[in-house]
Parts: sequence; C-alpha cells; structure tokens
Amino acid sequence: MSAVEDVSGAGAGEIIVIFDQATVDLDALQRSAYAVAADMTVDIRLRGMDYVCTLFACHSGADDKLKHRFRAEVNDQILRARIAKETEPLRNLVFALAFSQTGLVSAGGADEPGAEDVAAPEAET
Amino acid sequence: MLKLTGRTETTGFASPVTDDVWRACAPGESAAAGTLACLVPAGERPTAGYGLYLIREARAPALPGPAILLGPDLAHIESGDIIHVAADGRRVTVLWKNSALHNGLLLTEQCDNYCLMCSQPPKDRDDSWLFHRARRVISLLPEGARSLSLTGGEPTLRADALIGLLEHCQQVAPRLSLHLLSNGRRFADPEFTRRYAAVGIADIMVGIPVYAPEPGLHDFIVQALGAFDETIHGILNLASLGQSVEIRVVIQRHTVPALVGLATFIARNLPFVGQVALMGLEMTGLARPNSALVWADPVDYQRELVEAVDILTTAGISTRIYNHQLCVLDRTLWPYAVRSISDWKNDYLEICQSCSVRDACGGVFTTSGNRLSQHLRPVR
Amino acid sequence: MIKLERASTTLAPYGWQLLPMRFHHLDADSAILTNMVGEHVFVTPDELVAVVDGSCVDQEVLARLRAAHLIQIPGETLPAELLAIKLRTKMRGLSDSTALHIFVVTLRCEHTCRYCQVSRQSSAKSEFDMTEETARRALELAFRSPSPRLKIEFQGGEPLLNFPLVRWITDEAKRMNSSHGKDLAFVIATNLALLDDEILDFCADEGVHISTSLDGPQELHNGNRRRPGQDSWQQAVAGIRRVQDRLGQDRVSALMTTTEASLAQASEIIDSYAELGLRGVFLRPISPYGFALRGRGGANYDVSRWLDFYATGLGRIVELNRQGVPMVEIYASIIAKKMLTNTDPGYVDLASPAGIGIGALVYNYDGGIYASDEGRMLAEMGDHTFKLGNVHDASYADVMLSDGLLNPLMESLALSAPMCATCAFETYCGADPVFHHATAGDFIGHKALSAFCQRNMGVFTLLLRMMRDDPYFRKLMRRWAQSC
Repeated sequence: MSAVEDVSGAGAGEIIVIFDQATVDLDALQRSAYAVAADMTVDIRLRGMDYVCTLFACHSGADDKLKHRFRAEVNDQILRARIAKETEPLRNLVFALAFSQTGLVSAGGADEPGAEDVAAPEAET
Repeated sequence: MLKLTGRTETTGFASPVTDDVWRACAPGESAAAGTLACLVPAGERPTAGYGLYLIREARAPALPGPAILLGPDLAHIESGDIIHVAADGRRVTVLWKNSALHNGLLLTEQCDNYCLMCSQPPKDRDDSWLFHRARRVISLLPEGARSLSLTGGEPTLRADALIGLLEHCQQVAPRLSLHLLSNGRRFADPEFTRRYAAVGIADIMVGIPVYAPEPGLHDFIVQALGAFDETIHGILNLASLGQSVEIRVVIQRHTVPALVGLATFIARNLPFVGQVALMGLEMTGLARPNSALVWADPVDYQRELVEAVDILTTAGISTRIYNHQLCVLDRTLWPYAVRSISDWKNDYLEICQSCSVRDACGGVFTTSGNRLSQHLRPVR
Repeated sequence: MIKLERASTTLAPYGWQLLPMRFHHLDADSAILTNMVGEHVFVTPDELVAVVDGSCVDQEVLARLRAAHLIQIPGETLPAELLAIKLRTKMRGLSDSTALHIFVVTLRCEHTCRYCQVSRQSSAKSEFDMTEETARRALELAFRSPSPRLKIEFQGGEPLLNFPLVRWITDEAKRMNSSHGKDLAFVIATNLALLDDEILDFCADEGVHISTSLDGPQELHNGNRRRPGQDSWQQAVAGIRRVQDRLGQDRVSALMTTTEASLAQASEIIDSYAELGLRGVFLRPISPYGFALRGRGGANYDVSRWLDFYATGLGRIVELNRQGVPMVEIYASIIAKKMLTNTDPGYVDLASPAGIGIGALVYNYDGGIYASDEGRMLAEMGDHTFKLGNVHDASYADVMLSDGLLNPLMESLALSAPMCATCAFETYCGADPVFHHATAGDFIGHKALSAFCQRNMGVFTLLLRMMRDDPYFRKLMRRWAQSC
C-alpha cells in the first residue's frame, strides 16, 4: 500500500497527508478528493517524489478525523483502480454478450433464455 | 412394497420363448395384437392363440400353449403389466406396472459422474440391450399409459440410441408424459440439444441434479471436474430451445450448508426451470460405503430447507420435497411433500401404524435398510 | 470410494480471477461486494482485501463469491454468460418506452397544501382546464410509445374538478387502443373530497385505480393540507373507505408526503395506514420544488433526520408484519426488486437511464409536454429546461429525440457518472437529472454533496444491514421484491 507520512504542517492549522508517488497515482488522489468533498477540500501538489495533500475542513472538527477520512478514501480508490484494471476485459465481455444478437446456443435462430420469472424462456425480439 | 422379480415354474415349454418382453392381458384381448401373455383366471378355459399364458396356480387341464406359473410374490401381476420373461421361462421380471404411480425404465448403468451418494452405481460394461428392451416395452404400453421415467446411469451417453428411443415414443405413444433423468452434461453440446428438441415430444421434462451453486462443491459431490460447467450450460441450452427442465437436489451432508445458496442461485440464474425437487437420501448403492460422508438426518437441516423452499417459492418456482417422512419435516413444508417413493421400494415402520398422517406420507425406502433418521415417530 | 478429493476442487491462493465487482464499507467490521447485476455478498474488510490481492484462504468465502459471480477460475466462461443473461433481462425494459403518461387535466384545486408543487388556482377558473383537443393530441403521442403497457394517470390540481375530461380521455384511449392492443391502466390521483357515486360507478366500470394523499393521523394531515372546512383528513378517510367498499381493498392506494411535522411521527403515520387497511406505505422525502421552497412546508429538514424517520417507519412496518399485518414499504420493495431479481421495477424516480421521457411523459393542461412531473414544476417556477414541446405542434420524434431529453439522459447516466460508476449500489439507484439541475445547476450534480445520493445511500445501507442481521427481514424483502 502507500507509504504515508504525516507532517504536522509548516503553517498553523494546516492538515497535511503525504503519499509516495511510486505507490499512489494522481488519479486515485483526485477521485478521493472528489469523494470527500462534503467534509473537506483537498489541494494536491507534487513535491519531489511525493504528493503533498493539504486538507481544508468544511466544518470544524478533529484534524485526525479528516486525515483518517482522506487516507481511507485513498485506500479505497486504489483498491477500486486495481479491481477496474483487472476486470475491465471481463466487464466488456459481459456487455458484449448481453447485447449481442447471436445466442449462447450456436445453432442458428435459437431463442435466448431470459433469467427471470417466466415459465418459458423469453424470446429475443 | 412389491417384489418385481421372481423365479417361476413352467409347463408346456417345448423350446425357449422367442420374445422376452410381454404384456399381460385378460382373456379376450386380441391375440393378434402382438406379444400378449394371457393371464388366465382360476378355473377358466383360455382361448388358444396366445404365445404365452400366465397362471397363478398349477392346473391339471393343459393350456393351449407354453405357460408360466407365477408364485405368490408375483401374484400381483395384472392385465396391462409388462414383463420380461427369461428364455427358459424360469424367471419373470415386471418392467411396467400398470397400476403404479411411477414407472421407470433403466436405459443404461454407465455414467460419466460418480456421485458420492449414487443409488445406482455406474457399471462400465456394454448394456445396450437395455435400450432394446426399453424400446420393446414402449411398443407394448397399454392404452391408458400416462407417464414414464427414463433413468440410468446416464441415458445421454448413448446419444443415437436415446434419440431413437424418444422418436419411437413419439411415434407409438405420443400422449405419454416423459421424465428423463440425466446429469445434463451432454446437453452442453448444442447439436445434441437441438436433436433432442427436434423429436418434438409434447410432454417431456429432463430431471437434472445440481448440488451446489458453484463448481467447487458440485464437482466434488459428483466426482467429476468440469461437471457443473457442462450441466449448467446444458440447462441453459435446453431452456433456450423451450425444453422443460427440473432441477433435482439430493440433500446430504455436503449439500446442506450450500442449500440456501443453491436456492438463491437457482432463483436468480435459472428461474425458468419447470420445477425444483428437493430429495431425501436413499441409503443404497454408493451411499452405503460413503454413509459417513453423506448421511444427514432430516431433523438437522430443517432450518436450511425451510429457507430454501421460501426462496424458491417466493421467486415463483414450483418446488417439491421428495423422499421425506412427514414426521421429520417442518410442518410448514408439508404442503410441498410428495409421496414419491416408488411402490415397489416403499414401506412403513411398525411405529407408523399409529401415525395420524400415514396415508399422506410416502414412508421410507426399503433399500435404505436401517439407515434412517433417528427421529421417526408417529404424528398424533 | 473417492476418486476426487475435496482439496482438488478448492481454490489455492492466486487461483482465481476477479469478475467486475464493487464494494462498500457498511460498518467497521462489515463490507459488501456487489456484482454487475447487483447481487451482493457480505464480507469482512480483511476478506475484501484478501480476495482482491489473491491471498484469501477461506474456502467458504471463496465459494460464496464464486456462486455470486464475483470471482471465477481463469478460463471459465459460464459466469460471464450468466451475468450477460441477467444483465440483458434487467435492461430489457429500456426498449419499451414510455409506460406512464400523466395528464394534468386541470390546475384547479380546492386545497391549499403547504408543500404543493403545482401552481394552484382557486376552483372557479376553467381556463386552467385541459381541452379535448389537447387531450386527443396527447393521447396520439402516448400511443406512439413502443411500450406494450400504458398507464394513464390523471393529475392536477384536483383532476375530479374536470371529471368530464377524465371520462372522455378514458373512452378515447380505449377507442384508440383497439388498433394497438396495449394493456391500458388508468389511475386518478385525487384528494377524494369530490368523490361521488357517478365517479365511483365510472371507476368500477373502467377498472380505474385511485391514488390519494394520506400524510398520517388527522392533525398531521390537516396541518399540511389546508382546505376550507379543515376537513381534508376526514374527506380522505371517508373517500378511502368508500372506494374500498365499492371497488375493493386493492383499488385504492395512498401516498404520504413528509414534512417537518412528520419527522417525529413515523410510527403514528404507519399505524394510520394500517387502521385503514392500506397495505402499502411509501415513505417519501420532500422534494425541493414549487411551494415547498416558497412556503413553510418544511423543506429545511436535513437528510439524516429523514433517514431516522425512515428507519423508524420501516421498523414499525416490520413489527406489524410480525404481528400478522402484511404491510409493505414501497420504496424498500422497489429496491428489493432491484437487489434480488433481474426484473426492473420500472420506477421512474429511481432509474438509470433516468425515467424522464422514457419512463414517463407529462402533458400539462395547456398541451406543454414535460419529461417529468418535477420538470413541470420547475417550469412553473420559470425554468423550462425539461419542457420538450407542446402537443399542438410537436411530433413524437421532436419530443423523444430532442436534445432537451437526450442530453440530460446521457449526462446523468449513473454508469458513467463520477462516484456512481464505482458505487456498490449503482444497480439499485438511479439518475435524477431534474433534482440535480434544480439544486446543483447541472444534470449530474456532485454526488458527495447531493441529498439524492445521501438519502439513497442511507436507505441502501439500512436495508442491507437489516438483511444481513435479520433472517425475518430477508424473508420480507424477498416477498416485497415480488409485490411491485
């Protein structure tokens, strides 16, 4: 996972979370910033090998909670990105199968089963 | 419980009987109708012209043809029943019992699965004569014959023979309601499924076992890798050609924990099936040596069974419970219980004499011997 | 006797492939995975990570995920095929637009409900009535819909104030239908104060269903729904009973609208429905349109208070079920259908693609065509974004292929919206371009800031927790999934 280093912040009241560029990509950070918008806005900057994320709270509250929230979201986004990358080909395949005209039975003109509550499988229209 | 086979004595057998499959008939039925064996009532003089006569007690006056004396075990044979007669006339086996609720024809003992609890263990030998015999039986079915099961082993292993048999059925007995038992794997071949559907039988259902909602457990239970994949593909192919499918689930120790998951899987993926049959174990065949692996007492799985039935029925799927005694079944499930054990192998225990619901209950498998639930008792 | 050992059918680490999956953290120790068609499996957070990175050794978890088409062995084709069949079944209804046609036969009304989203006028002004000519043209458009079923819903104002037109439209629709052969259904959305024998006879003859408003117990209802004589509740209850007696229990349903005052009375509201033999309760939020914003109708409660209200009301309904009273919470039943079956419930306000236009069309008294009821309300406030034309000069193609319809449909699609695209509940949820346009200024909104998202996420997670923890509630949800 990401190497995360907390810095108390140079400026007073600044909440900063740092991510190693080698293990977290910008897309994950941007998606995370989008997702936590109800609680904070996030400024993302590149500094050397690190992404420095400064968190600005929307409401008053514990700084720790904000960092937790953002880090948890980043972890989730990284997981999502990994799932998406691995499953993209199968996802496309399922869509292709779902909307193809030829049936799963290769014999020409066969009707498709419909996986729903009917006594007989539905016909393709 | 009926005995279906027994030794017999003969009179007037000058040479071996030419045909092996006969239908018993009453005197007066046209002898020209084929291989009819006349069942002669006591004291009557039978007319000549039959190829074979069946009597229940020895008689002094000679009969006009070869005769078989049925012993007390086979005295239940009636007009309309179809029997197999050994060439020397010394053994008779009932293949079709006209008065029975269920009749089945064994088509082969070969199988490409090897289920842990198989009640008809596979034998790998050429038994193609079973198909020939089945064909003969179908040709001789009496006028009122309504339904027939075709069983095995795995009947689809001999694809041409099976298709041919179905075509024969369609020709000579088109109003017959057929129930074909199969592991479904052959139907993964679209061409075979197409041939099966093309026979055009109006009333035929394929009964296909599915034991788990995923390959890991199912393949283990049927002892064949890749079986689940082929079986489900087979079900889908059948459904896409409008063919009726029943899913059969034998409830045993391994299938119990997956029962609710399986019901969910069927309701979501295969909701078009005509019926789901949840079946109690018959402790015979492979189930005996494997009994430690497979035995499950029904009282221990009622919670899962109730939930599985709820899932299936709420989804609109016709659901039946077979081979369960009412006393070990949750009361809410009684409406789904069917008296399903074949007449010739069902029985009741002594304690059942005082049971108030005995007549509605299917009893136990005689073939299970004493491998029964510990909790059978009369219902007050 | 064993040729194949159990071990040979179990999964070794890294021995599986992920199928398209989304996740959500329900609690600190509980997460949920959903597949492409919304089937769900509960796991722990650790199991979630272990499944994704290949290290999971819990065969029971892996078996459940295989069964739910969340993982497979490389080279398998069956899971993708089954997902495709289910997906196709779920989306089948898309080609059968438009099933619901709302006819606003008059804007006149004798109530002055605090939250009313319609520009109401006093009962006397008949220039706010729809004409037969307008109605005829609207029907012609409606019958152009491919849908094999048409539901014609009469709204207003108070539609019974223009009952002659209701009757006329019904007759005309049936006449037109003789050449189409569609299944027709008719609904009148009415406050029932004007119900009389003639109207009841008509409903009996034509199989018309009545939909009315019942906000809860008398004080709550009358406080919301002002009427000369302050007897809206009495009229509603009397009307409901009258319809039940004459037409049958199942021919009248009620909708509640939530106000500030409702929030503390969830159980009382449910009980008031139960007392009247009304089986279905629809616990709805208040929407930010029309008089609701302008008046003191209580548009200012926040989503988490509404969610508490919802949870309490749902709990009361479950309790009543346990006591043998078979009530249904309708929003939950719609979601149940999406969660547990492959059939789309066809509820236009929770659908993606959105229900605007393709799920429902609204024909205003003056012939104006709107993509949804809310779209019409926005127009009353001066925003015509969702006006698609007028029946007097627009063709079917003009309406259904207009940018005014296609743009919001495409832009709001959940499958491609930020956050929605990766949301575990995307298949349960919907797109609401009208709401987001009204509150955020674009069709898609920002879901992290959207009350629509917050509300629906709250409902989904509540329902899922209850299903996870209570077998009785699971059973109820299964039943409810079949009831809508």
